[in-house]
Amino acid sequence: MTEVERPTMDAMYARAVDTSHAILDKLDQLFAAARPEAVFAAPVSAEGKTVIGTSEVLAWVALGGGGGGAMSSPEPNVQTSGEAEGRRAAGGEGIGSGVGAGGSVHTRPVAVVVIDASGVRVQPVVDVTKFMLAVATTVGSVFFLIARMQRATKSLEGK
Amino acid sequence: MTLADGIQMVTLHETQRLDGQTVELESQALRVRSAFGVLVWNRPVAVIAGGTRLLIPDITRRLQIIAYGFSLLCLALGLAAGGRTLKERVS
Repeated sequence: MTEVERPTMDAMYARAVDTSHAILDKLDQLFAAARPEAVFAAPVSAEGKTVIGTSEVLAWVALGGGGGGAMSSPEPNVQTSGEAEGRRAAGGEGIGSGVGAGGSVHTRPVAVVVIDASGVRVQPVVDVTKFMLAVATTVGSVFFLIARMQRATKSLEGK
Repeated sequence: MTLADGIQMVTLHETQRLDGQTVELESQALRVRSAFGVLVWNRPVAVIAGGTRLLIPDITRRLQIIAYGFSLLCLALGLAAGGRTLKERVS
């Protein structure tokens, strides 16, 4: 009678980590964001000027997974093949696992490089939407400060 | 390209010849890699042309830092003012 070696939890964990690294190695190909070409756009020439757009790139991917199983053998690691086959046929043991992943790539224009006969110059790009959101937050904070200070003043006057 | 585990900060250069001028484009990339994911943040830093290094300013980011910094200061002052009155009320 032959004995069947069951995988230990450590071995399963090591295999999961190896799989995770293998997936990430494949994802590296997606991460062209780490190259300069992702930041500097292809040059565009018109009317004696060449323009290169520059942008900030933020890309991320996260993944996670888990798994587990139930086995009714009295010995945790070793059992006979006959028992194993019988238990499998009867549905007495099972194992399951799952993996999930998510990510995003975000770009934002930063500046434009202009090259012409007079030389090279950099013209910054301002993202008005982001700036106005920040201004709105600031205005809200100022109102909060004023309200708290007025309340504090009234509290002191009432004493 | 294979990213090693851990955090890496690398400066990348790309040379281009445009309109008879050699222009070097410099960018900086932050790469974070763990068993649970990968993050890459890449931003333009400078343009080097004719021996001159022109920095690429990120005006939007600077304005955001100033505005949000001021917001945090206002929040902290407001909370501190409230805390003081509460302490005075208790005493």
